[in-house]
Amino acid sequence: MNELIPVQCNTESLLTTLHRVWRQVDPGDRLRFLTEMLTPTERRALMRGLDEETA
Amino acid sequence: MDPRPPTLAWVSLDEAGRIVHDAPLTVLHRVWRQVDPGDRLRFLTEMLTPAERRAMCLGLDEEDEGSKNIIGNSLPKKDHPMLRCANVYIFDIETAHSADACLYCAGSPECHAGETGKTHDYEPIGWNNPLALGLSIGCAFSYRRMSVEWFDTSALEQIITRWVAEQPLMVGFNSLRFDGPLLQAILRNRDESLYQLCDAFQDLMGRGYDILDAVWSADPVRKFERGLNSLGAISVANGYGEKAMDGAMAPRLWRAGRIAEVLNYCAGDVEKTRRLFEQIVSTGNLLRGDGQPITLPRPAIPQEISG
Repeated sequence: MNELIPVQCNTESLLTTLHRVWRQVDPGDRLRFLTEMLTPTERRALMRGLDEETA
Repeated sequence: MDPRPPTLAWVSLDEAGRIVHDAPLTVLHRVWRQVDPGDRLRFLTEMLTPAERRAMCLGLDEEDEGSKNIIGNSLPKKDHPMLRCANVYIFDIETAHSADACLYCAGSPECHAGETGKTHDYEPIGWNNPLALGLSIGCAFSYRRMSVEWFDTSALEQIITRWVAEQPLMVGFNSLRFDGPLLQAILRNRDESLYQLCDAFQDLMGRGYDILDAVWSADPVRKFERGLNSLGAISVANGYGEKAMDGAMAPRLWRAGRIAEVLNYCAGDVEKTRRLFEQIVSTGNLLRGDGQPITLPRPAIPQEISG
């Protein structure tokens, strides 16, 4: 049985963590994650970016 | 020296007291909502692959329009700017029989097991016998018409005559080695007067764009690696969804009279092929089944119907 214990450590910023693990996640899982987690605002912002690129 | 002060964090230990590192997906879930929304948006803009961005946007389209997995809604919501009215067909076919069906009776391998009084031994048709595999249904999407059309053996001569006359770019997945030769074999077997048409079709297919052939040419070493180059694996990797079923099921469903399911399945594969093709046209890249990108040649898009 695993247990959680507090340890003192030098932590990286959340954004750094995000960058570090992003590409390690399986692309299929990543897509499911995005589908689940992105807010409508974030998705619309991405859509606008895509429209601008293809215009 | 790291200027940040040490802080407390929770780590997980196993029975031997070793630190258990969380899976990247778990870490992602843990930190995602804690990141500042502005930073998150910049991160998304920077890190998402074109396929992931498109998948997110397509998802938005689907939610907005309430559309789900039926033929009418498998058509593109927006036309691709580089393919608008282009002389391009995306096509796929389904065989009438499975490669593992018996060459003599079209029965499954199972129905030969323990058979008494049998008149023949089971021998599979195999993938290299196009006439025995036969055609149940084909589906072609036209960028000029922005619609799909179906063809069976009775409509084959008519549609191939049109394709040869229009000289479009024929796009498929394994179309160079499988779909094209199978259609040609069926037509060639029908009448000697069709030989010239068959030669012209062969020539047209040779100038087409086969996505699988492009992948194989770009990485010939990993041609047959499992889960790497199939339409299903590449479609999932690029965010265009899983195939509706195992392709070997289609002939069985067809024989069972479940025609609509086969039509929907075939149209689904055309749709996946179309999306992959559009991604190649836009970016020159695809993700393979292992999630790694591969660079493919971008095809020249014919705009005018010749003749």
